[in-house]
Amino acid sequence: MTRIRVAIVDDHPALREGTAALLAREPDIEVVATLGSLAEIRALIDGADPPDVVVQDIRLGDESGLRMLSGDRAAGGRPAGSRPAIILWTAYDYPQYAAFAYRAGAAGFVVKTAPTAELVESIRRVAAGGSHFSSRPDLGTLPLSSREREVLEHIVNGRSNDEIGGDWASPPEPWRRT
Amino acid sequence: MRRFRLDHLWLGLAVSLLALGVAAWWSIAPDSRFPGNDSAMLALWLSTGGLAICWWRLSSATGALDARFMAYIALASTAPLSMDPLVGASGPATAFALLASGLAALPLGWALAGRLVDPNRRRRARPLLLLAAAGGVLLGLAIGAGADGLGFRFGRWLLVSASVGVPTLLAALESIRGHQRGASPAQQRLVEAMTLLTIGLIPTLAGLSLLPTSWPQLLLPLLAAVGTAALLARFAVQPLARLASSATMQRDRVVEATEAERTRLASVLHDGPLADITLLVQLLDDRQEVDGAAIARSIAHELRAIGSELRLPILDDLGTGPALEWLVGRLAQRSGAVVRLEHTTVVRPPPPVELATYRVAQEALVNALKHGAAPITVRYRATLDGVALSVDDSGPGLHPEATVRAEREGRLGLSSMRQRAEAIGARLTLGVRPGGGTHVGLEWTLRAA
Repeated sequence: MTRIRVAIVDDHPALREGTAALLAREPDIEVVATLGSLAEIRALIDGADPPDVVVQDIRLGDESGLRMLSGDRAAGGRPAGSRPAIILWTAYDYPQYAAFAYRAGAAGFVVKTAPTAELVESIRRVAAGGSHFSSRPDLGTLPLSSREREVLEHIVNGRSNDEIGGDWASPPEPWRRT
Repeated sequence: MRRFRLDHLWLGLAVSLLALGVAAWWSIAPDSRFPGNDSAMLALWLSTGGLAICWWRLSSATGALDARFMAYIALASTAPLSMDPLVGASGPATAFALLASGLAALPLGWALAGRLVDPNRRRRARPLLLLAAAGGVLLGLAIGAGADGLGFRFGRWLLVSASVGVPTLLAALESIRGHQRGASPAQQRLVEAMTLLTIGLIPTLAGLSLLPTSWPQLLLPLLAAVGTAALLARFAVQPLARLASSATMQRDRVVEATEAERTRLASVLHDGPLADITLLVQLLDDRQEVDGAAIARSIAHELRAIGSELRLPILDDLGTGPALEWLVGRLAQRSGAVVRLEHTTVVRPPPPVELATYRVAQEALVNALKHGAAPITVRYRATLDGVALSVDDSGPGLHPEATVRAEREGRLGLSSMRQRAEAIGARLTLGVRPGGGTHVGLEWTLRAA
């Protein structure tokens, strides 16, 4: 079994190392990097051997980690093997962040004080092409059709794109955010 | 110190200037000059008096004794001059009036000069007072001796102008350099502006009343007026404007520093205790200490809330719209009031505008919850053209006096909103909606660079 290659980005060294140690206990997860800035994570992603999943804080010093979600780096619901999936890992479990993370293409949104098991579970899910939002995006603020809303409910509840797509005759592509 | 109501001052000033205008027209218009001359002089005298009263009130509010002293000298010297036509321009009557007021001016002026705090000024004030009084007495004697030629009139005008203008100008220049106790620098400047304005009018009025009204002869008083206006601009208005802008800058710096400090604290909380607590949560989870982990989580929750009160990370990361969502949700939950929010963001404005808009909305919302009534509606719209914010409540509406009262009681909510708006060059409107209820509006327009 190939292990899921994970990078952890947080500007608090003890927190990222501690979390890396907890994740390293999982047999199917390999922490390939613990980084402290956007520049480092960009270099890693653009490098020869990018990770499968990036777990990153929103606030990285003076920088906003949300920038990682813009453009082609957005990786939510990506087909396995392309760009890394990004899980926003934050102290602020505000629905506004979750909504933005969803719209901007994050694969997951996990609150830092959530049990480690939840982080592990979300890593597995997004590595498999799914998504995981531990704080519900504020759906009221999203300009969504009823069907989009339904899809989002599924995503929030942790179902993968393929599972959701299977519910309808239409292919899952429209729900992927690339 | 009793607060001086600036609106009274401006009202007095406006009435005086209006009267001056009427008087000037009256005395200069060729047809009406002779029949209206006495009335014109009365109006001039009244308006000068009105100005002086305004000025006196202001200078007593600021404790600017020097200005009061000079006002006194000016009034004492010009009162007889202005009375000149009123007493029928008969030599002996005018002479008597001049002598009487010149002498009456002395003891009071002397006493006032004695109250000057600065010994240097006190030393200088008394000779100046003597000079002014001597000018008045000399004039009285000259008129009494029957002098009435054009040369005499010019001389009279020059003497009066100099005896009033020179010491006053000196005093004004000196007080521009010095400090007056108990007054803010801006108030001091205002006093000086009023001083120069009032004093500057006197030679003009004197010239108008004393000289024949043919144009070449009117030129001199006109030049005097222009010169005074230039001096006024140079020594009073400019420093006042500079001071006002530096006061604004200082105020803005205070706000900036406060914001910077809040941001710093929030970031220290996030990077320090909040991160440590997160580690602790992980540790306790790992040891399966459920109760300990629950406590640690609730501490994390509180720290997060404190951090967000200081500086909402949503504002920086996502903009004013989502930040308002958070704020409205939080305030509505806390107060139980119905707060509606409509927001659209086509493009995010610059960060200072986002911050100012958020803080104005925050202040307006807190006010609406405290003084107004639900439902409250918040609208925010950020487009390519700019930003529009409105907060409307359904309460009785802002009382017109509320701003003044609030500031007097040390509540700075309304003025802080005004400051935020000014700092970004936005327009803030406070008012009552047609159907009742307070309306707070903020409009910021993107200017083409």
